[in-house]
Amino acid sequence: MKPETDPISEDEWLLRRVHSTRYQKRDLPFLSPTAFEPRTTGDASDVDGISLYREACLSNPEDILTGVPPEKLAANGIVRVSVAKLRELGLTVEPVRDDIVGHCVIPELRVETFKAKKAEVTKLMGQLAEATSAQVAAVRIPPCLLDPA
Amino acid sequence: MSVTFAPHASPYMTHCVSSATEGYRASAGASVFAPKPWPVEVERRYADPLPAGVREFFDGEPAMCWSEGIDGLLEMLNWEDDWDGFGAAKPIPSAVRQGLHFAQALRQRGIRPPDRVLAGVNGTVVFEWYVARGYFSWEWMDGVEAHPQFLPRSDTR
Repeated sequence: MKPETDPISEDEWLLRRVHSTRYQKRDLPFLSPTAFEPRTTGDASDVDGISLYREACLSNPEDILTGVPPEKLAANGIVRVSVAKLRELGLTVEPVRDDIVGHCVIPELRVETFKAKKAEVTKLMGQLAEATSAQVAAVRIPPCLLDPA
Repeated sequence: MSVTFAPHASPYMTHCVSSATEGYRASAGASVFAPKPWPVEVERRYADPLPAGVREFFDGEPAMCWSEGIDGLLEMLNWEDDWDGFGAAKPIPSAVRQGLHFAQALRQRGIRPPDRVLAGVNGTVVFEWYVARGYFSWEWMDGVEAHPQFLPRSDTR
């Protein structure tokens, strides 16, 4: 495991929590661009950018769901995107200390930019959704979407 | 209850629109659960024929039927803040109600159902379509303002 003080390298994977309402069971892309929408209000406002977590710093990817109330856990999934892919899309990633280890943000997807350039940011959100709809990105499908059979 | 209806859902609009500025204000029924007949102004606004190419634009097989989308919207009226476990704002009731009117109008006009109807993390209500030409979303910011956006297929790759 990497210490979070290590610089973020190009070959790393970043994890993102995604609610079940952002998925669809049909063909690709199954993730909605809104899975990467910056929060503009409340305590969880994405002032620095939307949150992701460095997979290399975590012992278990599901650690990023720490703090989610138990009754809401089944409705949450996890996807991953490579740092290289972010660079390809013209995005950057910056570490920001948080309760959960490996926390980082995409500064281009922060509240201020989202409000000022919504169309441009939505395009980036669409590209991220496309990238994280690949099979390799599905770290955890929300259990509530899984067929019990 | 006073509700303001937005202009046509043109897939070619990529800017923010506000129907309030266009004066399409109408009185709607008291309950969204039992919609009353459309006010004359609204009927006129959404009247057939739709602008050329609108129905054709929404091609492909939908991932849901209209009733699923409408049920989902009705459910949103009961959601509270932090419905996702990460601090999302509760859906804005006026945006949900406007979404219900919007859904009914599109269904009546033969537009195919969206692939998803969801609540944004900031309280907005979003309709999403994946069509041959790309991705189209229509977001109700509240009961008045809507934000349509079209991402051509090449822009999401």
